[in-house]
Amino acid sequence: MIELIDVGKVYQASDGDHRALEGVNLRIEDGDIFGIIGESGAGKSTLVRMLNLLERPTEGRIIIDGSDITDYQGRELRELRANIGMILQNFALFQQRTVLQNVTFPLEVRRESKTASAERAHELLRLVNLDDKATRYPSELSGGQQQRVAIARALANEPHYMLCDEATSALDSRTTVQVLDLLARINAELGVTMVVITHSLAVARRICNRIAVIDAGHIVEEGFTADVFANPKSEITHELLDWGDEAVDQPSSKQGVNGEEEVVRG
Amino acid sequence: MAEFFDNYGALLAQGTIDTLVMTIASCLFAYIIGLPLGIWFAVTAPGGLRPNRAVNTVLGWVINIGRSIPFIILLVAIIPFTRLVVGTSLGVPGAVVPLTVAAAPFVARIVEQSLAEVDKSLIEAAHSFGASNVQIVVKVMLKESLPSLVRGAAITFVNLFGYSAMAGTVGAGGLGDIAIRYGYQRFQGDVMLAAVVLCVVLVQVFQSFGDWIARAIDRRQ
Ligand SMILES: Nc1ncnc2c1ncn2[C@@H]1O[C@H](COP(=O)(O)OP(=O)(O)OP(=O)(O)O)[C@@H](O)[C@H]1O
Ligand SMILES: [Mg+2]
Repeated sequence: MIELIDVGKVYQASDGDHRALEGVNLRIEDGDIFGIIGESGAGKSTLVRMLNLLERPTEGRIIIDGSDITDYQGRELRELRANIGMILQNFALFQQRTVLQNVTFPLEVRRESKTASAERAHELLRLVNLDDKATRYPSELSGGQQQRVAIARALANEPHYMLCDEATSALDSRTTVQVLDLLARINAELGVTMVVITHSLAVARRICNRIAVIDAGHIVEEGFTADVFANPKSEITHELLDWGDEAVDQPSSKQGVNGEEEVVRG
Repeated sequence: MAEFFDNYGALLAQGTIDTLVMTIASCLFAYIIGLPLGIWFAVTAPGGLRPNRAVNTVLGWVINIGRSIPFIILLVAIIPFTRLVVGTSLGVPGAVVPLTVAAAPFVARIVEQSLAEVDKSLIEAAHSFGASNVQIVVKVMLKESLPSLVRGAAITFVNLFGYSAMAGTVGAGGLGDIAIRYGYQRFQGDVMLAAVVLCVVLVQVFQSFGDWIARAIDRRQ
């Protein structure tokens, strides 16, 4: 379980202080797919990057599995991070490493044996249906494929938590559907708790059981996805609802989960 | 032609060997000093892995001062230091010391620039997997910038090749020394020309070789 207690963040920018988050209280339960929704610049990335301390909060406390991690440093921090897989906004694949070497990177960092790492990586690449691309380089893959490599890499350490920053914004809607369903499957089958950032309520509706809507650094709405959709309270949620993405917004789960071959039948 | 080679072949061969030994040795030592310096410079830069304004500023000064001293002046100015290190200021060993001192700050700077090109999000990704700073330097920064580092090494090598000709003035030998002695002092234009042609050919070969390796290992878009 992840708990945020009165968390705030002020960035020190060249032109003075800039407040990105204020008074954030959240509780993410084990097994959740927790959506964080908001417009560009709302503070979504800042919020999620604080969960593994890529960014440190300037106020409040962050509790993970009962431990206050806010001041973790050094080894303790690295151990914590190894238990939290992350997919960055632009995938951040290592260009000079093959697909396989990208997926083994988190294991290499922890000095796991080469053979065991490779075995685990192949397993994960099969999970995301990319095992045939193991020896390719990221520059030779499509956006959707790169994203699936990033997902496999984030799972390498068998993390309990996975953070996905805007995992789907750079992809077309069909690929988005495939990636979202893959995330949902990982959540269901491997029991990984997920925090998913998105601009789009449609994306949230498809896979999230709980969502928080964030606007200008404040959580303006939070609750079960169905409740928020049925009874949106804040103005910003209404606005976001109006921009529904139709292709993503079909509440079906029969569509292609993990391969381009599977055509979305509508 | 055959007569020319009978007379000067051995001289030119020895000159080529001297030049190569000077260039390779000073390039190697320049990297032994410049590579860690460049890494340190990149790591302490603002927004780097471990920003440290004081260290970074001092390193910047040292590197820039080192790069701004004309080689011919450096060559003479550090003669006492050269004697201290290799026991002589003459010959190939006497040239390798000033060449190394001249190239190390240059190496530090181009290494720093190669490392600075590495996408920040890759470093962030490595952090997110619990990588330590040492692991990030080795497994991400150096690895991801390898093509660029190789290009830098080729430039360093070719620069040192050129500088080594000036080191001829301390009796270091080499192709540059031959070109100057025979061309200017004995008015034997043919020997000078042969030495210069050899220089041009060798530089072309090394530069092309460096470019080829850099291209072969570059997996970026
Ligand atoms: N390193 C930083 N220094 C200063 N200000 C920052 C920094 N990072 C983010 N900000 C500011 O904090 C606010 C929130 O940024 P954040 O990246 O969290 O937004 P976001 O919701 O993820 O947006 P997007 O959907 O565009 O990714 C923005 O106003 C941004 O300009
Ligand atoms: Mg963002």
